[in-house]
Parts: sequence; C-alpha cells; structure tokens
Amino acid sequence: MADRQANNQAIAIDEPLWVVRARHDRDAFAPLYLAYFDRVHAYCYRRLGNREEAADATSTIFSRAIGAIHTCNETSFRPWLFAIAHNVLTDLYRSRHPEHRLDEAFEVPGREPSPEEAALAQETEHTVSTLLAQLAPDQRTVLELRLAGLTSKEIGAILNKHPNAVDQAQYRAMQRLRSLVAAGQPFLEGLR
Amino acid sequence: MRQDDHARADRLGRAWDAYVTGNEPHDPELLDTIHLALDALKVPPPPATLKASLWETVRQSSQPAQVVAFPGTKSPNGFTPRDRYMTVASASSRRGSAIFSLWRAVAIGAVGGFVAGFGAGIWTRLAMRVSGLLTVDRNRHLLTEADARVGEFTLGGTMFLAFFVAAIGTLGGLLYVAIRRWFPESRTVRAIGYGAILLAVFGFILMDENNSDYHLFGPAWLNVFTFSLTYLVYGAIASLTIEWLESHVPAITFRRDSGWWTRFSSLAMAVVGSIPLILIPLAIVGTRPLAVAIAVVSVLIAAIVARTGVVPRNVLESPAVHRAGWAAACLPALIGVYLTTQGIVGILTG
Repeated sequence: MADRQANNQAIAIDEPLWVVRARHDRDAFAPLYLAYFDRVHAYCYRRLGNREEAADATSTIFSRAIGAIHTCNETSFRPWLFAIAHNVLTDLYRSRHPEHRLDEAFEVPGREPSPEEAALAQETEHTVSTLLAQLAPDQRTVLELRLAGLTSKEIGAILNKHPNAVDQAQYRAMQRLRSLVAAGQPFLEGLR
Repeated sequence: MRQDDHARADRLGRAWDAYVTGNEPHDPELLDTIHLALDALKVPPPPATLKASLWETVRQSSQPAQVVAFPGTKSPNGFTPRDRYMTVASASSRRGSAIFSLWRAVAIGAVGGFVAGFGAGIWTRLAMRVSGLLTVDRNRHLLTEADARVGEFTLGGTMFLAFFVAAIGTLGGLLYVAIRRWFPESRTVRAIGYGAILLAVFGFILMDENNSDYHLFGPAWLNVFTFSLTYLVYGAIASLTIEWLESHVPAITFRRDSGWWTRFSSLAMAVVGSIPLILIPLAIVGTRPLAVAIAVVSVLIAAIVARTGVVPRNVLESPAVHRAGWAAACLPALIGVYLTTQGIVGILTG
C-alpha cells in the first residue's frame, strides 16, 4: 500500500512541468526527487538487499538523473528514471567481486538503530532477499520493476523485451512466489 | 507455457498495469495476486533523515546517464517506445547501437522468413497433392506449367520446392520486421493480418489468370483457396517465429562480461544477418541494374535535401509531406492489390 501511495503521489504532481523547469534550475528537480525517492530506494533495496548499498545506489541514480535531465522527454519521466536505476544497479552487480555472496548482503552493521529495530530490519532483509533469490534473474528483474510501479510497456522498453514477454515472466515469477509463500514459514525458518 | 497460461499472464499484466496507474482491477483473484507480491516483498521505508541528507549530494552532482539506446528508435527487440526517454552518451555509441540493432533485426527477419518459407513450401506441396487427387482422369497425363507430371511426388522435389520458397521467404521475414511496429500487439492479429496483407499485395504472383493449371488440375475455386492459404500459412509462421525470436534472442553485444549464450547468439546473428545483407543487394544489382541505379540516386537526393536544408525542415515534417510520403509508399501495395484481385477474378471466371 505504501508503494501505491507513493505511486499516486508521483502521479499527483505535474511531472512534465517540473521536468521542463529542472532543465534550467536544479532546485526544480526537488519535487520529482521527493515524489520518487521512496520508490527508487525500495527498488534498490530489493535488488541489493541492504540499506547502505540501497542508499548509495539511490544517491547515484538521482545524481545521474539530475545530470541528464535535459535529455528526458517530459512526458516519460518515470520510465526514464527507472531505466537509469536499472543500469546503475546492473553496473553495480558487474563490479562486485565474485566472492561477494548474497548472504553477505544480509549483514546489518550495528550503529544507531535499537536492537529491536536492527532485528526487524535484518529479518525483513532476509525474507525479501531470500524470496527474490529464488526467482530466475529475468523474473526477478521484471517483478522488481513492477513493484516500483512501472507498466508492462515501460518495463519492456527498459529491458528490451516485448510487453507480452514481460507479462509472461511476471506470471511465472508470481507462480513461483506464490509457491514459496505457501511453503511458508518452515522454508524460511530453515534458512535462519 | 500453455495457452491458458498465456491468457492468464496477459490478464495479470493488464490488471497490474491498471493497478499501478491508480485503477483498481475488477477481478478479486488478480488483485489478491498483486497484493501477495506487495506484501511478501514489502520493504521498510528509508530512514526519515535519509531523503534530506542525500538531496544536497544529488543537487550538487552532474553525472550524465549511461548509453542506453538511440532516441526515438525501436529497442533491439523491435518494440517501439512511444516516448524518447533513453539517452545516448556519445555519437559513436549511438551509431554502434543502431548498427547492432539493425543487424539483429535483419538476422531475426531472415531466420523467421526462412522457417516460414519452408513451412509454406510444404503447404504448397500439399495443395498440389490435393489438386492432383481431384484432377479428372483425362488430364492426368498432362504436364503442368512447371513441366511436372500430375501425381508424381518425390521427396527431392518436395524439398527443392520447400527450400526454394524458404529462400524467397527471407525477404518476407525482412518485410515483417520492417513493418511490425504498426501492427497491434495481439499475436493472433499479427499472424493473420500479415498473411492477409501478403495475399492482398503479392497474391498476383501465384494467382496468375493465364496459368491454365488452375483449371486443368482440380476445381479452380479449390485451387485458388488452397494456394491463397499459402500466404496465410507463411504469414502466421513468420509472425509467430519472429516474435518468439525477438523476445528470446538477446541484443548483440560482444562485451567480455556478457554470458556465453549472449555471446553465442551475438555471433550467430552476426553471421546470419550478414547473409541477406550481402546476397540480396547482389541479386538485385545483378538482375535489375536500372532499378538499383534509380533507387540509389533517389536516396542520395533525399539525403542531400534533408542534410543541407534546401527544403525547410518545417516543410519536410509537415502533414502534407507526410501524407504524400505514405501515399508513395502505399502505391505499390495498391497496384499489387489490383493485380491480385484481377488474377483471382480471372481464374474463377475462367
């Protein structure tokens, strides 16, 4: 529901107007930044599996976006932004060392959060990352972009796929996700 | 995936599109599916201070976006984004992306057209068989226009016909790749529609009213029907094959960090795509040198006019010029439709 609310918030602002203004005034990018920050951060979080890397990636994505705003078609800001996000995260994956294993992303360094907050964050990271790791790469990517609020056409253009292929990958991802969730707690508990 | 799974996938896709654009899907089962994903993969919101703390960093940066695609063109899989939102970092990257996209499209079109042509060739052989079975006894000893005797079918003859049609079919595959952006997204409409267009525009090639075989061997109306279906069979196979290849074959890339399947398919497409790019121009130059000369001169004139601004850009991009361009492109098609209609009517009226 929070994703839906964020999506509706993004729809509510006059995106084309702010994109045009942002080409000449960086401060005019702020409404777009505020409208999409949560969704981009959530997208990065699902891909990367931990808060710190998600924050770094989010910063990189918006930095690139504001630097290239003059090339954005004002009527298509959302897919343009997530195309940048997809590329940033893809590059990030390629630059990782091979021995950087998925379970290392589960680690949450103890800093300010309370023990209860840290435990809750770690449990959430573990669950989300575990579920997504069980999907095929193309299914996972499609589902992550879907959860970021993109349509089939937009996802297809980002991934160079036909919308029908996007729908099929999404359907297979949901079938797999449903079976994982139905297998339920015993499956996830066994991984802890 | 089975056929009903495809239908469910389409329904879920449409429902989710409606959901992300603020409309609630009517189907409760689909809504439950969407909520399942949202709930299972829900992530905590970012820390309250993170948004503000990152803003200054973002505001002061100026990193450009990476190369993605050539603006305003189709993505490598043929799907045309209606909006240009992907940017290019450099002119050389833009040219490279465009060349690889074209190469991939040619390769997929050639393979799809070849497969469809082979299928259409087999179908044509079946149509001939039906005609042969229904030929009256007094005509059985006659030779066809192709100097073949009715009723004599050999594997060699069938394979020759199939491969001959397959070779010609590569052109049809390339044509489909060029025009598919204007087709609706429904696979069924594409499959049937393309075959219907081929029949309407190029049907006169087979529907020759001066070919007496239509009357000598089997009922004329049945021959017209079965040989017309050749175009529909070809169109359906070409459309389905090319769409499948478009969604399953990755874009051409020779990056060292790409997977083995990507590099293998890139190399295969580079080889396959080169064949029609070399053979077709050679064949055309060899058989129709005057037509080639006219085409080359026309393209050069158009390029010079566009580049030098001899004709103002607002005139070139005006609706009237666009309509004239479409009319010029459609004229050969209209001539084909006329000839096909004339051929079919001529055969049926004897």
